[in-house]
Amino acid sequence: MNSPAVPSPANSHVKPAAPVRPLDPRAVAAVLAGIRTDSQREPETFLRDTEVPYGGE
Amino acid sequence: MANHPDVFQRLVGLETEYALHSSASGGQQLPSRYALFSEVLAALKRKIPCARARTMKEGAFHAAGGAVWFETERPALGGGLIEGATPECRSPRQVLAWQRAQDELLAEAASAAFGGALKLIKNDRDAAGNVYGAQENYDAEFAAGWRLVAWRTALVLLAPLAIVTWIVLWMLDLLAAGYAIVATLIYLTAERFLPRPEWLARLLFGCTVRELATDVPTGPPWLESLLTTAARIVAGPLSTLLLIVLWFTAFARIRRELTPFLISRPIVSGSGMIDDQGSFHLSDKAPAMSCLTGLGGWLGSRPIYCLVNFLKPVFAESRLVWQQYRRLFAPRQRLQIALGDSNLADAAEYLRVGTTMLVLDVIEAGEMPSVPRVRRPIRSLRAICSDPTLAARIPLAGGGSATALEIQRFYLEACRRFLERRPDAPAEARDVLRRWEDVLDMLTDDPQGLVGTLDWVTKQFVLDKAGRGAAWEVRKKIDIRYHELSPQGYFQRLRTTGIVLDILERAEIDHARRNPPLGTPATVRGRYIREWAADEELIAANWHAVYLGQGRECKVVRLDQVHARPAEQAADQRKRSPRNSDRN
Repeated sequence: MNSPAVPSPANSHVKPAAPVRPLDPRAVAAVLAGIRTDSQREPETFLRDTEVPYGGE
Repeated sequence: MANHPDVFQRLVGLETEYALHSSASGGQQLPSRYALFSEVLAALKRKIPCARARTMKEGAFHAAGGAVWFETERPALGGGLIEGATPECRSPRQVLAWQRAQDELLAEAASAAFGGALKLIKNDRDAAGNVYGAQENYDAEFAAGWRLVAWRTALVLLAPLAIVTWIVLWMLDLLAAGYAIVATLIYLTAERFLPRPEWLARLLFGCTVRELATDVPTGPPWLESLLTTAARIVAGPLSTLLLIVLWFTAFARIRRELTPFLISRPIVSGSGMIDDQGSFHLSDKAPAMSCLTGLGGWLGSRPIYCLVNFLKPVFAESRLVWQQYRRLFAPRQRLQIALGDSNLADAAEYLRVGTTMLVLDVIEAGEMPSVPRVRRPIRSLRAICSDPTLAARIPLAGGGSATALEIQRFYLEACRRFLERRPDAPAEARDVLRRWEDVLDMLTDDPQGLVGTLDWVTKQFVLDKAGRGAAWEVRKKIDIRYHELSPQGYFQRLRTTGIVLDILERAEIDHARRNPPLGTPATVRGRYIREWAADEELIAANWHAVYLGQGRECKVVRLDQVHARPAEQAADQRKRSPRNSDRN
């Protein structure tokens, strides 16, 4: 079996408290600007193309 | 030190229905959803060994233990979904790893199948209000005492009706096959006399003959409607009687003590949603819930506790396979929770499953204090979800009211006391407890600090920063594209900035992409699939067994024993050990 050495998750060490994340505010602002631009591009077409007729369970 | 036998021992798994986004559609007609599914499945098989699924749904199990299906919701009318199911896991961290692995595998398969033009969207509701998405499954105590006796007695008494139902449904199958033969004969006879026989093909087969050659026919919509209606009428008496019995017997204690927790859980694990009026809700799926307990789409309801899995073995999945019917007598069964959103954020998914497993452990240990019982649960759920300030107070049965945060803290304290009495409980249970408390504290003091940790907070942040003042369509696109599993998906874009809190190591996801979780039925299933999948005709699988070979040579490997909790497996092995035999 080609399993790498990953311990069984149920008993493995768990990560310590959520670390303070190195946040790059400029990167976040750039991504948000990109989202703003993309979201205004043919939103009606996007919404129509992503419809799921009759839904699911 | 051995782990405590009643903490994080149950089997748990997630089912996820994915919406599709084709960026190359621009006026082109997409293949049918079934054809899309077939191509995605073929691409998946090139990535990981697969075996044919021997179930009522068409699909495959793969070597990592999970499955992918075509969820057939009115395929002749353009419906149908790609659904992935994680393998059975035993801890929230396992579930998270195998869910992420599944998301990646299926997104890559979709992209590979259509040259990057097809993307999966992991959400629960489209712009037209159609609902689909996530379901959780937990191995849980079905009933005890008189309720278990009543359920088993009902199963015995209903067996004759089940047999009649099976036979009539089988006759419907025969009628459908007969129709296909007659329709083909009519078409072949009439074709030479008609100048444009395409209309006759559409009437008889639901598509043209050329399409028949390239796509698997779903049949005409009128036939689909007729057969669906007939099947529901035939199964009506049995499903109604079963629902009545299930109402009184199934998971009665769990439903009573878990419901307030589930109703308040969207403040932690909701994905957020823009409604038709542009208002923000905490949850994508919760506003669609219509009742606490029911049979789901079979009777047109959307219950929090979906019991339709008890009908499938009775008349849909087995058709006279007694083993499936007999399995319904077991005191532990699959508890299916349909109230839950598809999460993108690791922490939200981890806490959704982890906190629910902990609360179930407390309930089954009989250590849950008297819970704050909620009056009008569905109305209260909607009130909680429509108030992102988390100030909404919902009425309690004994008088008074509570916020969702207060209810969550009640359960947090119950779980804390439960774990304090179990010093040898898995470290992961304490990790869930700690993260849960951190999140509730942050929701109280500084919700904005949870951007990148909880989905609804993150989506609200993106809507505020990138969609403020925009038209509804723009904001709804942000709502939905947040969930797209591609580099263009908005959550995925945010992930590149370091704002998203990752819980898993990359190695854990890579491991889960190739291997089944240990100590579960998936371990055995996945190993057989990897060994035998070179000849796909020779292996098939479902949740309970692996089938090797064909016809009379077929060997069946039962997975039921691996379903047992590790503590029960160990006890069973002790009973069977030679030393014990000698002593006896």
